[in-house]
Amino acid sequence: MKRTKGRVTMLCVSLAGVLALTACGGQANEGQNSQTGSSESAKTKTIYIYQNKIEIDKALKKTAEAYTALHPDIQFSIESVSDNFSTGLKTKLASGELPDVFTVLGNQDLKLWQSQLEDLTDQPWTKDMIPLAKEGITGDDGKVYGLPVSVEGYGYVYNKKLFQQAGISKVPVTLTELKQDVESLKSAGIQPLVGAYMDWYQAGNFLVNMGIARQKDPLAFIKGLYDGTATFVGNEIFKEVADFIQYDFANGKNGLSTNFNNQTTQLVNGEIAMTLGGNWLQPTIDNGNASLETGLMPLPVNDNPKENDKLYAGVSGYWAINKNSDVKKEVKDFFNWLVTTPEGQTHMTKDMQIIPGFSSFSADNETIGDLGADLSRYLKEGKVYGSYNSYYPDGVAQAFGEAVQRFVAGQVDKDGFLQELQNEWDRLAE
Amino acid sequence: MKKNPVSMLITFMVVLAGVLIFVAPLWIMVMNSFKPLNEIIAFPLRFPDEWSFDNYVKAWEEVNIPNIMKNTAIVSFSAVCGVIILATMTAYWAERHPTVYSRIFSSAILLSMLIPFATIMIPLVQVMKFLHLNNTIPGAVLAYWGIGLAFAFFMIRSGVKTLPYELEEAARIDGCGVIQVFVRIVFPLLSPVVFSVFVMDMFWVWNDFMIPLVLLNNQKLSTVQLAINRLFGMYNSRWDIALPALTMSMLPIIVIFILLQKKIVGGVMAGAVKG
Amino acid sequence: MGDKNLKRKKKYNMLWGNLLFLGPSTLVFLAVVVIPFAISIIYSFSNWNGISNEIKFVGLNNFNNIFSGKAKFLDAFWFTLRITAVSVLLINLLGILLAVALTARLPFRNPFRAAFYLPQTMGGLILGFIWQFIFIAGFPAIGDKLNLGFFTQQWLGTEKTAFAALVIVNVWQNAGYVMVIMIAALSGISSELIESAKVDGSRPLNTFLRIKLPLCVPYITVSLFWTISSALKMFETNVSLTKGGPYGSTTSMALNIYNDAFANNKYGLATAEALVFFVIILAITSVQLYMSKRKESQIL
Repeated sequence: MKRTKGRVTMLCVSLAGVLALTACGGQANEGQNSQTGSSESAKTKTIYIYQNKIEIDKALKKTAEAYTALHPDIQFSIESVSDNFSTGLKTKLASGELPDVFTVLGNQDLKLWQSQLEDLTDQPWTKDMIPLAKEGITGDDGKVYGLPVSVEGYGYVYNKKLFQQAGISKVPVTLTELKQDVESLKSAGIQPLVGAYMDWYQAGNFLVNMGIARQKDPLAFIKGLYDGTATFVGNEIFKEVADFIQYDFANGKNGLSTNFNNQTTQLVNGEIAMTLGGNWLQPTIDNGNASLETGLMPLPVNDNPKENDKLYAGVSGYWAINKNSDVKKEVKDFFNWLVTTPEGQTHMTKDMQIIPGFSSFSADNETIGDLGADLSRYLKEGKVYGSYNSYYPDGVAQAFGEAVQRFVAGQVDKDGFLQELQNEWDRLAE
Repeated sequence: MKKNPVSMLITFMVVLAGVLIFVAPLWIMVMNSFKPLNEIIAFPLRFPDEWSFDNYVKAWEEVNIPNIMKNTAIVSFSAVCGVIILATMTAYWAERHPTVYSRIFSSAILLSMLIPFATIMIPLVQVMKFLHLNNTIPGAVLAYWGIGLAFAFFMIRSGVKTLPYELEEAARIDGCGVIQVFVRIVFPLLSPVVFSVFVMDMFWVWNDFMIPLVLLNNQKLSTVQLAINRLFGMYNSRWDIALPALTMSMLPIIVIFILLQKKIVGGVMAGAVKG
Repeated sequence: MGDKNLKRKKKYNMLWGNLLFLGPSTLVFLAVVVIPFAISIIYSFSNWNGISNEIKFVGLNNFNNIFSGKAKFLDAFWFTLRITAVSVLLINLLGILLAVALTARLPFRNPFRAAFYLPQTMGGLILGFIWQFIFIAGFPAIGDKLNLGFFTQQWLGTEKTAFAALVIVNVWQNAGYVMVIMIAALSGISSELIESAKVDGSRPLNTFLRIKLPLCVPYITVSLFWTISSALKMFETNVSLTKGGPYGSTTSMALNIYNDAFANNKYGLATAEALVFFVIILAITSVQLYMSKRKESQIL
């Protein structure tokens, strides 16, 4: 009986706890409401930004603070999320809380969201957008729907010190040169390559894009894929790219159990000479091993130097405005300030360390680091291929990545691989 | 039962080896959370040269630990208590006063255990919007009440089945009303199984990821799981930040578990009466 | 007259009691489970992408895509079935073995029980992250030290080992639960029964198989039901450990549905898949419960 009594007490306590806590929950909620209430009464407006470039989160918040200092009536609420970004965005839409500003990836993603977006064609900065940036966010109706955040590019990220150790004085621009350099790295006892083949992400987005970007007219090729007049099967360029992928995998180490995480760590620790990557790795390198000297070099798939001395670049995302937002005008003002005034531009180039998708101002060479500097040099010389993954049907990048994994694991041969790319495209394009 | 000491010793050694294997992953995590990044990568099995709290300071700065712990505790506690109250009332009434409705309702609840959460995710958000509860703690708590009902009902119903009816009769003859019988007699008698449901559901909600992901979609309301996942997205090559954050996020659960382990395991055992 | 009054009063009481005791849970259940489930059934006949305001109804198109194999759901189904079979078998075997060992009078019996139950207290997401670290960094280090090729394999890199990795984590996480249930079962068996068997000259293994195990069948029913339904619903561990890789070979049904809904923007298809998933789980667990109950009635 004594024991029962103890239990009764315990239950009473927990019951009381429930009551107290549900009350707490209610209070927390009220607190929130009153917060928004008070801000409204003071006539300040809040711009809610939801974006996926998590590495610029702090810089963006700093920029927002600077803007609030100039315009005390504008406040910001900034949320940066990389994983599950689109799940979060869809949930926000379903719950009727679509942010005022959010990231849209362009092309296919633009089609998906276009019905929710504000037309920005009449904004003064659209004329300054570089063509690469403009074409991705222009709808079928010819209107512009977003502000390009940053130009990103990829190739091999290489370790300058290890190249020196192996006696390599200039970066390879043909496949033969690359093979020679890999051999000299090996004989110097250096691991030449590592690829993150465990994730579908890089394989599906970057490797397969090489084949598409190298077509004579990539957009026509993609259009052909959609209407059935073009195919991966038997495409000579894709055959070369497939050979390159196989070479990259074979000279790497444990590719299929290396994820982005390990890959970056090995690069930052100076254990590998080259790995697929882009200028977005710069902040990680700066944080992890600031003394590491790196550079960005091409991914040669054959012996024509002209075709191969190029990087791949594209706009990683756009900030679009929710057309039903109450603060549309305020956001437009903010965007204007950000990309047309020297102060805003400085925040973009120095704090966020990005390469802008505008011709009116350019990256800050001191802050974008080795990788950014190499990319912007290639961009200036016009030596870049485009990035076309945003044109794919939804889910194709993942399916492509899985096809690459099957290919390098030896489950399918080259022809089988190209056939799979085709099948996956057809399956997901409907 | 007497067994010969040699076979006992062998059993003991085998079980001990099993224990070590079971605890090893957690031990490796904790140990590495004190080491600098390059040591973690190069020698994941080695003892740290010195136990440094630098990683913890960094992780603490990145994740607002007190806030996410508070959120998670509020959500978990209100969710689990509500689930228990609802499930006990339902199980008791359905068992004692079976009607057509209560039978259909009971099977519906049990069936809901088999619904994958992804199915009802978006519609659930739409319902919460309709109720004006989206992105609030009460909204998430309400979702747990509905979704957690099945397991708690399943466990508690089997508890109700073993209750002696005579006690309730006696109480009723003494003039107790329905509510009094339930609160004074039934609920206390069910406390072993209720305790085990409480514990298991507490672990469930504390560790749940999907419901907060869609219903607490606001960084101020972030729970432990959301924060950890965000951290992995942000620093996915930084084990020196991720591991201490993981360790800290599990600490409350592990401490509670170690303190109450005998009671918890006993409670779960008590809950495992045949259904 | 008085009798009638009493009856009416009783009926009134019943109504009141039903409302009081079943009302709140009915409301909650309707709002959180029934209505969303009904909405998702409606979506399953549409091609909604999860965003657009226009929803077009496409009849049974989504279901056609599922069963014709166009939607990859069948691959995920097959994988889930295999991993469920292997995991459930191992979880229950290990759980029973542990229960037998830990009902013997071993020193440190209670802390040992707690240690095996510990992984059960952690979330699938976190477990997956921890094990990812173990498989990628820990295992190779063990392998190098002991010079065992078994450990230095690319655990998450090949189809078979990634499958094995998921099984290992599943077993590690859930064996403790089965152990606890089985300890409850074994300690509920009267010692007289065992003693009499011993007197009859039954050997320990025989006693276990012939007497103890049959008496545990109702408990085994519970733990089978629980392990089967949770293995079929595997999601979080899958996301954080293998993300469905390599080459999609470890994509569980739940992950497949999630991907279709949120990565591939085929919400209509995803809800259709989820309905099929629901029916599959329902069928499998019903068969299991039916067979277990039959076994129980044979024995008891």
